[in-house]
Amino acid sequence: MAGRRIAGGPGVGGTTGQKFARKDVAAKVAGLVSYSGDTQGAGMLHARLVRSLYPHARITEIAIAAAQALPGVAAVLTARDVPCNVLAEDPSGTGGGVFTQPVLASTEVRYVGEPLAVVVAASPVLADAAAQLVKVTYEPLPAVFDPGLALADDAPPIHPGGNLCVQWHVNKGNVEEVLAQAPVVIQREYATQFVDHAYLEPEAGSAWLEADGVIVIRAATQVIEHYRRLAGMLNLPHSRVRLIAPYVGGGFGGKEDMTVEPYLALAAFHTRRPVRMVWSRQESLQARPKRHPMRFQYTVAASRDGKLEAVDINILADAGAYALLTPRVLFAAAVVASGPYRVLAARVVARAGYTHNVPSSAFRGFGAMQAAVAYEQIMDELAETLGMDPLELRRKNFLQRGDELATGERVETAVWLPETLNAVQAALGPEPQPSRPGLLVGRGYAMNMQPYGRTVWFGDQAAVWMGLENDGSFHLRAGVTDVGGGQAAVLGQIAAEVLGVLPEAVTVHFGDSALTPLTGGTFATRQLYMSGNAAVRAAESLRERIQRVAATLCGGDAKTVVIESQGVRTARGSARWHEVAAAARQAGVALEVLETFFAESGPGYDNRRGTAARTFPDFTYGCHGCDVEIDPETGQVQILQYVASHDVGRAINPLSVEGQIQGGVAQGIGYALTEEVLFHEGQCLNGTLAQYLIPAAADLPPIRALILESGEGKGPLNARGIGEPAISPVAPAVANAVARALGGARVRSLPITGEKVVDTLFER
Amino acid sequence: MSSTAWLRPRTAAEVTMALGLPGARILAGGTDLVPNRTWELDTGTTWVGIGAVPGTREVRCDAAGRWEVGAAVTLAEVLAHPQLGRHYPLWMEAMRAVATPEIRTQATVGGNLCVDTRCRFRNQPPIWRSGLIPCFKSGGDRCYAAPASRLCVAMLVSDSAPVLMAMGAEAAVAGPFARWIALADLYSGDGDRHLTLNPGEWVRAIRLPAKPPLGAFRKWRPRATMDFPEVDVAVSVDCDEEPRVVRIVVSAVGPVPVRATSAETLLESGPWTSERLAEAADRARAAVHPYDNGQLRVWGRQRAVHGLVLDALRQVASAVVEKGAQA
Ligand SMILES: Cc1cc2nc3c(=O)[nH]c(=O)nc-3n(C[C@H](O)[C@H](O)[C@H](O)COP(=O)(O)OP(=O)(O)OC[C@H]3O[C@@H](n4cnc5c(N)ncnc54)[C@H](O)[C@@H]3O)c2cc1C
Ligand code: SF4
Repeated sequence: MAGRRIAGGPGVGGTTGQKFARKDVAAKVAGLVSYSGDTQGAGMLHARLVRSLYPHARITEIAIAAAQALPGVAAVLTARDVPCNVLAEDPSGTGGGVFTQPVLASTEVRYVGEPLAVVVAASPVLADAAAQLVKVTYEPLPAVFDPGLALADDAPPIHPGGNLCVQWHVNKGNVEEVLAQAPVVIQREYATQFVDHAYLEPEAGSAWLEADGVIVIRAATQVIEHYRRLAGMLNLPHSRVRLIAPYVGGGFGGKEDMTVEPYLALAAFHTRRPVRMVWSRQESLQARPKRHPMRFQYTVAASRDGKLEAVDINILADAGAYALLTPRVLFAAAVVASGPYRVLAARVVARAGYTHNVPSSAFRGFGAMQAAVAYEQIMDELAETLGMDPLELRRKNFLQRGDELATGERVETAVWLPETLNAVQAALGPEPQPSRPGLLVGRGYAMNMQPYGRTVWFGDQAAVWMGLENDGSFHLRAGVTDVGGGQAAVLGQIAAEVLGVLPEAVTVHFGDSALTPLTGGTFATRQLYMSGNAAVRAAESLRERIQRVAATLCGGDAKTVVIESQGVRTARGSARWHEVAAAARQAGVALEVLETFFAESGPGYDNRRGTAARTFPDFTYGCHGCDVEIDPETGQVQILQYVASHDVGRAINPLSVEGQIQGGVAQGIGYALTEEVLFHEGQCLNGTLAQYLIPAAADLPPIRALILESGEGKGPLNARGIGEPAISPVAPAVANAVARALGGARVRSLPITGEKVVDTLFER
Repeated sequence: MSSTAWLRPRTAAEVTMALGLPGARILAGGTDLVPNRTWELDTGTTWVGIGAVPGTREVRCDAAGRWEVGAAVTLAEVLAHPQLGRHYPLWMEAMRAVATPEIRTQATVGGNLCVDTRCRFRNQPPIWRSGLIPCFKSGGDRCYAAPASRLCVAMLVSDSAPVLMAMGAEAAVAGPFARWIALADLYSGDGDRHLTLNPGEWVRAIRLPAKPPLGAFRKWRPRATMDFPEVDVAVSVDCDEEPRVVRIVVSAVGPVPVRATSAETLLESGPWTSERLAEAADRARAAVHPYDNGQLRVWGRQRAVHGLVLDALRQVASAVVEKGAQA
């Protein structure tokens, strides 16, 4: 197993690299945290959405009089009441296209559950009753639910520009030529499904109007920067809308697009009273964006001794009715489609088609995860064709520092693929044995590479403010949203490390678009990278000021000033914090700083040629392995043990890293085995958690997280992102283990249900 | 939204009277009734508690050594009881398989036997159902799970029912004509009105045999906890009788637990060789026809019956050998 290699941190000690339970964790376990839905107040109104019952229909009338007449109803709002009823976005950031979506549909609906009206009433029960009184007259139109069919010539158009939402190209070398000459070529297809984020906290929030006319929305969101879009919707100056995100009870990408925010803002704007909105689990399962189902066609060419020569890849995703973040998700899938392997030639075409399904958008793993389902299964299938050990095949082709990716960019940082694989292999131990005769067992592995940070052409930035109180306590202000991963707490820890104080000395104020400097949303595993680096800078610059003041106060060289809990010390003397503060005031030095971190930026993607100098700032690499046992009578798959290893550059709080890995694996197991939001003509068939099967504690095997630290990441203190990387290899690792157990028979579509396993066994 | 009255009568007679009120239902642990109310599947307007009636929360053993358990005793209390576990390990297995620990602290023995039947086309949010023309159980004229059927075929999901049937347990029916009935006689065969209880009747207690047969229980569900059964199998054998009394009960495949009589006959006499056990499992599979109203597909559930019965029979067979060796 690879040793711990830790780059020296810039600080003088502290807790970095040590496991400790964050403050917010204890408060959450004790039920002390006030989440977005927890605001209740006298006179508060309750809002409900009226949603479309049809996947595609013309709306001829929305009759609201009966609902309005119900006593206790404060407002019934339709498209007419939205000052600017379009949300517009250029999600790829390359000028590739601006996509629009109405806040409330008025003339046409494109998916079941699309919002049509907001009903605001004195109680949730009244709001429900009033919502039922809103009479919508539909003229059903032909609908299409399959992206392949949607892209056919005779498909009903979903948007004026046609049904192709996005098409990305990645090109390297001459694929045709290599394929024609390659000694071994295999071709396979894989498919993934709709899944839901299924977080504990539903979409929820409240909104009110301040006396100065500012609309405040306090909601479960990953992105407080949406306040600008809300202001646009209301035709207000940006400065008149404030979005606050308290601790979020799970996001996973599901709260990256707006959910309740626009409706709350509208309701408060019109009623001028506080309003609360909470979506039910059914609304959430039916109508909130899902993970993109994707279909993969892989053609892979190799030499007889197992050198990858070319990959030819077609990806088709279901974008659903609106684009949302589809272009970005597909881009991530396209960039990593050939996996963490060297290839001479590559051709990737990644397309997404609109359908009348619920829109697909961000979900932890963000396209790169679906790609891993394909690239890691085909590695096993190629090994089988070659008669080679699948791990040996991987080792032969592992990407290394300095290599060129399919996009043409170079890998600059450490690639610890062999190290993570070795660690997992060693930890899994001897091959599994069936627990009773008749059961089938197998072991499977999967590697992955997952980008962290936004694509370089976004010119990403994040700002952090830090200040010192005269009692020696520190404030850190950052507009991060904390979705449960400790995104806020870690900033305090990083700052404490840099300053050389205990983490308790730093209090983090977060998630307020008006009062905390903006850091950008919590998505794309960017938060640690971006605001973490900003926190390093802020803490460094504050430290430098403190040292300067201390040196004049105590004498000695500023660089040698040591910061302690009571005050500062130099070789010549010491001073207490209030003395430092007084001296700073006198010297006209403000002990507060605002620092901005700018991510590495670069030119846009050349989609015509299919190349880029750089796409994402960096990648996180890892390996997962597991043992499964299958009952051939029921097909049910049980995971016996699970080991996951990632090079996280540097583990700032290993307990949080482990938590991310454990959670990623648990969520990934659901993706692999049981979870699928089933739609029939756009209508969700399993709209309750009794039917949408997320794994329960009793279903999960022991999960071991092996954290490796190469000391080479682009995040603060050389850390790499781990939020998304931890979920991506799970499904292919399980799929490979199942295929092993079934003697090579393979279920090529997720989830690998008992039924599919039995079907596959029968086909053989 | 209409309000609901909650009555807590103190005698059995008062319960019977209260059940005569329009829209009256027994509210026991409420772990089935309350969710059904939330989903607008149950529209009862009067809830009648039975826990205040003497005896309904009692566990006692009669002179003949038969244990009687009151209908309002919770599943957690059954599982924690110092004696019941020793006498009726099979029943305990089924109790432990019900729902989750949280639900078991609330759910009752009577409620578990009377729990409403379930169906994929009905146990859905109101908005989902609003898209369908009502089926039998929703007051309509058709069945989506079994289009040719003239009755609702929603599934009985009680985990205790098949086990208690296999054990030969009885239920005490309270009402104008109080009586003991064999457990199998509690179920009507119609998934819409799935109990044979007449208006005003209710289950007061269950009675378990003094000498329970050896048995085995298997529950198949998508996840290792929480889920309702997709197939339940309970098998028992009493070797003290001649010929042996064999009971093979398959449940959660329709509105009543099914006895696989042809498989039982095969095993009543003759040796239990592995071939004959497999033959019995085949016969059990042929005896049941799950409908398309579960979480999993029909043929997969039917196929699973074979493996589950075989597995249960093997366990019973080795228990018999063990017992024989000891005797
Ligand atoms: C998440 C979840 C999972 C579940 N999983 C399972 C499972 O795996 N297996 C399973 O069997 N059940 C399961 N259930 C259903 C239910 O929790 C149990 O069946 C439970 O035992 C019902 O008991 P109760 O006392 O709560 O019944 P209640 O909800 O109080 O009553 C259920 C029904 O029986 C009637 N009733 C109750 N007592 C009597 C009586 N004495 N006489 C006549 N009628 C009566 C009521 O009127 C009502 O119609 C689950 C429920 C949930 C919410
Ligand atoms: S079994 Fe048939 S009648 Fe009964 S609830 Fe289901 S669809 Fe309705």
